[in-house]
Amino acid sequence: MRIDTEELIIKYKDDLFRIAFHVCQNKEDSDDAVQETFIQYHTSIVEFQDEIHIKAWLIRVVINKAKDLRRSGLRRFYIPLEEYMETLEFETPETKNIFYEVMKLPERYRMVIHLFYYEEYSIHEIAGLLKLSESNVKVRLSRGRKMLKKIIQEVLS
Amino acid sequence: MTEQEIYKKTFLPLHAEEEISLKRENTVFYTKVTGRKIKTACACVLGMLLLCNTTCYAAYQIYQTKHLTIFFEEGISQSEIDEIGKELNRLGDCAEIELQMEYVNADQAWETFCNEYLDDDVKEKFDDNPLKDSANYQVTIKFFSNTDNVRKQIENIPGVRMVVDKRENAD
Repeated sequence: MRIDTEELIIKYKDDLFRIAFHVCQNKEDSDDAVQETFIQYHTSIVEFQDEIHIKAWLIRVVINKAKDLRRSGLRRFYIPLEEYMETLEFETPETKNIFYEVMKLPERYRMVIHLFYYEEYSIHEIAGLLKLSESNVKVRLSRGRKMLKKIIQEVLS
Repeated sequence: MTEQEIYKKTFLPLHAEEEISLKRENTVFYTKVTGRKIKTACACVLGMLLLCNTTCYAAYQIYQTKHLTIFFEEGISQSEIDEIGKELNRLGDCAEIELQMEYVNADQAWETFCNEYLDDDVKEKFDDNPLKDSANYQVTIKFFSNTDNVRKQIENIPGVRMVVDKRENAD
């Protein structure tokens, strides 16, 4: 099956942007990764089983695109993270601090935490998306959750 | 509030661009310009420049290198020959030329001549060295300045009879 690209953009662009942001840590590359991902979907002839399959495909592609952009060595003008955070509408000052602290965590933990907490994927699904073993995902998730707990406790206290 | 709820609230404000175009911008020949492609292109250009530069430099070196043979006045003494050698060395010390020189005494000159031009039986007919006044300096000079000026300076050294460019000689 195929879903119209415009429809997918409306539905998943922000989710993909958040995932790309965990890799690139800047708005410009994250936007590019998302755009490239949808272009790849739009121009591909891949047939999908269902929408879940499409979303998983999009996530895998956006992670790869984001990594490519990060590796590319092209140094464009980036808005620094602190400056970009000022443009975001955080619900409370605490969430803003948590955001900043989470962004300091190593990417291998951030990505697993995000897919687990935000996208609500299971360990098995995350292993498939990141092409890791389940035990590896478990370890990363366990360590990442500990780090996240510590951050939340420190910020909220 | 659970960790998950806090996490979701934290990352909720992140949003992609409002409008996502399915046409690529910043394209060259329909290809997205990525850093890797730019680096590859730069490497190719740099490689071509280096190749061109190396070729030009090699050509420059060949053009600027001269092999001179410096002959002395007849009856010159060894001390005078040594003086000429010192004078040539002084020329070599100046920044504009790179000098490699080898003193060839009369016997060596005769030996070289025989090897190049005479058969052994003809050589044996000469009891005395006919080139006894042909001791010389074989000088290889890499010029980085005006070649004629340097050559004139060598010709003006007292005791130098003749300066022969091997290439001119061959011609």
